[in-house]
Amino acid sequence: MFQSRKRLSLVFIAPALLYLAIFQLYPVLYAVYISFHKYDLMSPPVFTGLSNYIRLASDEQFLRSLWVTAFYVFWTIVPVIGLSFVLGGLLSTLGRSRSVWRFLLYLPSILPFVSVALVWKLMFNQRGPINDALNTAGMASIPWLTNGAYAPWALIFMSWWHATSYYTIIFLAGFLTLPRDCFEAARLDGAKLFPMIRHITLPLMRPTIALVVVLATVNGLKAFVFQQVLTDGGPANATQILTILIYKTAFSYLDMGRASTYSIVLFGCIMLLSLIQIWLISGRRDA
Amino acid sequence: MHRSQVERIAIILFIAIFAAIALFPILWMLAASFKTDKELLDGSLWDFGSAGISNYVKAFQARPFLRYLVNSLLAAGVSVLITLFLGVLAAYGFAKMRNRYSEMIWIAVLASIMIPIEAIVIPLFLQVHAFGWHDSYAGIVLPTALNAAGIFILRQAIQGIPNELLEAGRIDGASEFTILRRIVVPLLAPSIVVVAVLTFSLSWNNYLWPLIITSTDTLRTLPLGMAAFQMTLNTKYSEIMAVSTFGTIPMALLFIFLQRYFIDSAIGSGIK
Repeated sequence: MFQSRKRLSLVFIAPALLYLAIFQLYPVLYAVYISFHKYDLMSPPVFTGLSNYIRLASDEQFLRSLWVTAFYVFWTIVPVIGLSFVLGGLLSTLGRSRSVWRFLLYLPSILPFVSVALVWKLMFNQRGPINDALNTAGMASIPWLTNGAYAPWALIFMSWWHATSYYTIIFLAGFLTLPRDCFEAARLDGAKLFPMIRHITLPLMRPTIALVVVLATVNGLKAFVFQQVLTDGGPANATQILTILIYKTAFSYLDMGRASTYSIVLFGCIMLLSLIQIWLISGRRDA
Repeated sequence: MHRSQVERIAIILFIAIFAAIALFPILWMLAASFKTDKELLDGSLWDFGSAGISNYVKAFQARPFLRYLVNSLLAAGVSVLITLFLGVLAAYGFAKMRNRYSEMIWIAVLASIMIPIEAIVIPLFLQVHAFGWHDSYAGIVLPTALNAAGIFILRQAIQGIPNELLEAGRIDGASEFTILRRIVVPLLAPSIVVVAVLTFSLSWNNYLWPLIITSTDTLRTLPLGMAAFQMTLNTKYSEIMAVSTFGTIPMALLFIFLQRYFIDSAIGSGIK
């Protein structure tokens, strides 16, 4: 009977495995396959070996896109992680009012991404409320979405608004698991606020911080909707992050081989970060 | 713990500033949906609009937003059902029926959670074409329906159920399926809601995949319909805000009734 139960486990696992194999695993292998080919959907794929990969090094559009992506991810996650950490930490010190503030701070996360994109697109309008505020402060209007110097920042600003909401909740959850008596003891010993943060809070929060850093980076790399709706990668490719480049190369220029090669690069970056994340999660469980 | 009153007020003030920033665009969107375009661009921020519900009416006349809504609800509903059904089965298999292969397979499942749809849309597109599912409900819903992160959350929850409970059922001669249905699933209820909420919100935000796989307007999901409406020439800003507000309503309702589970799903999706 024991033996049969072990065999039975396959019956339980198989449907989900089959599903993942068809719609996740196989496509990854297929993407690798296509990346070794020239393929425009019209004629059958032609094997070209590593040439798609070799071309990456001199592919200016790709290199530009890589830089745009790195710029977007870096300037989005650094301030967001800092601010979320502070907000989460402060929220955790509150008593009964905490759930009300948590509710309000979480609201941006429940909006559909497209709603967020549409609202911010209008707020960045030449005559929108953000320029109104600048005018009131005696400054000139800024062509947020139509000038390549400002458009990347417009997307970064709106991502601050959107992402802070989510990571604040994650940090709050982390702060709430910290042992209170540690801080009590330090406080009774007369510890000052900043040394206490540095020597007690930061080391204890390290797993959560690491988790958020990886999560935020991965989510930044996967961004698509904001860029697509607000600027469609423009003006002059100033906001063409990798996902937009992949989408356009595949479905506007029908260059499936090249687009798959870009996909593999994106996939590699995310997989690497995810492996670090798994390692962090399992490390935390052992601790 | 005797923090001074001043410190407390300063903390609340700081949080309140950011809560106001979080709230502003949402309230602005809501207000804009009841204004005319002239009021929206030239009027004061806090004036009430004079458009009433006319923006909503006009948007709904211009495009089949109810149909988009039904499509989105259908996609999200099917995703939740598939994830829960396959997920509970697999999670039970992984948590309580371990054998020498399941640990290895589990690592493969974990790895598949990390595969971003953004990186596999091209092969998926070709594959779904080969299935003859292009521009169909099956093509929109099925490839992204199973939320592998759900399996992870359910497995964690099932691992927390004591084996003695299951053994009691086995001694009574119950089959594994009966044990799963009668003993495990009722104990899993909170995690099931968390996974349902998480899967629903992920599906509600699906954009890239349905964008690639649909060409018929009546098959579009709400996010696609909203974005397409915005790109139509001469669409009024206020009508776009009406549509944005409309797209938020289902999530807002869910959030109000299931707030606790939303927070848990945000934390749970930390592993996704």
